[in-house]
Amino acid sequence: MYALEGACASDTGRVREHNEDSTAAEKRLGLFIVADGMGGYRAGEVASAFAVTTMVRSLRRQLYELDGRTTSMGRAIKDALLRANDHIFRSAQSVDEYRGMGTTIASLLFHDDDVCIAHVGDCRAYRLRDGELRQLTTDHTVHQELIDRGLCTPEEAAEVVSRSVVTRALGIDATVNVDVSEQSIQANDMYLLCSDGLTDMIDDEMIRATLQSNKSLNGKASSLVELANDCGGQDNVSVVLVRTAVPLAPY
Amino acid sequence: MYGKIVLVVDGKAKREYLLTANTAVIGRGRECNVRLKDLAASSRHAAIISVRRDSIIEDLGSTNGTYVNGTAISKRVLSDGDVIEIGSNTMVYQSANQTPEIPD
Repeated sequence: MYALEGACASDTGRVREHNEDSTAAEKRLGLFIVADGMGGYRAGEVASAFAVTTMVRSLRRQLYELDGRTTSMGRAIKDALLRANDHIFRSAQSVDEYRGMGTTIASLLFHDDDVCIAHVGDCRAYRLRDGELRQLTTDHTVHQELIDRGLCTPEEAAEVVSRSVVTRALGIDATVNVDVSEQSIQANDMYLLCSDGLTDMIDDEMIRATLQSNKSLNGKASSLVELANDCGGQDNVSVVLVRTAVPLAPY
Repeated sequence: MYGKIVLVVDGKAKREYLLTANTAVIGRGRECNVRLKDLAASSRHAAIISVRRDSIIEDLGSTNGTYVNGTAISKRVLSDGDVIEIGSNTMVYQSANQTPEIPD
């Protein structure tokens, strides 16, 4: 069993008028989420808030109230994301102002010695272990797909298309393809969820250095947001950090 | 059906505001949908965005913060019976029907 420590930070950035990101750190559920909403007037905020709330409520229900019916954590988190997709899509269909709203999202669900990683779009999950930072998600963007299919080098892709054009998002369609993976955790792992407002502004090396600094977990989260703002703050920026620790034995 | 905000004074419902508009603004300003006579409230303090039977409250960068059930929030989906505190004012959110669209 691992004890979890979590921290959140979110900021509008230096350019945008509203913060369309939403975050959650539900330690009791072992659930952590970053969502980056998109759409016209305030629609992005609605979409990301709906996504986070629907996921939290769905998993609370699946893990606590209907205990035993859940066959796997991977299925549970996927089901929660599909529910969120459905809710955003139906709301968007019925209110003109919110037509076409959607959100990208990255989430972590910890249980026993494992963590499930589920995402849609270009919010990312990273893990810092033994000083090494590893990206756990592959962006669902046109940019990334050109690279993955061997059609472009990363440099060429950057010239062809903006990194922010996503190929998948929650709420855009009646169905959505969710990427779910699962891996073992270790004591003193540090996990980072972030919106593209962070990774478009600062590189992996700056992220690694900040996560390895002597600051508290909250301090690290705030530092990441400040760095993104110092580098231009072109977009809303949100980060959620989770650290795993072996709890003291009860006796 | 619309949700509503009930302004509570001394434990009694003083006034009700039906959330008919997609966005209702709470604050001290003249143009606010829910107008508060409270120096601790900013002119545009918080907004309630309603989509079908769901409502989201958002702090509009107020000086003294927006609290839901005692916790300072920046943005949050409201549940039936949530207590909203702005300055010295207390409001209760009542959803359109007692079961919100996003199930608890």
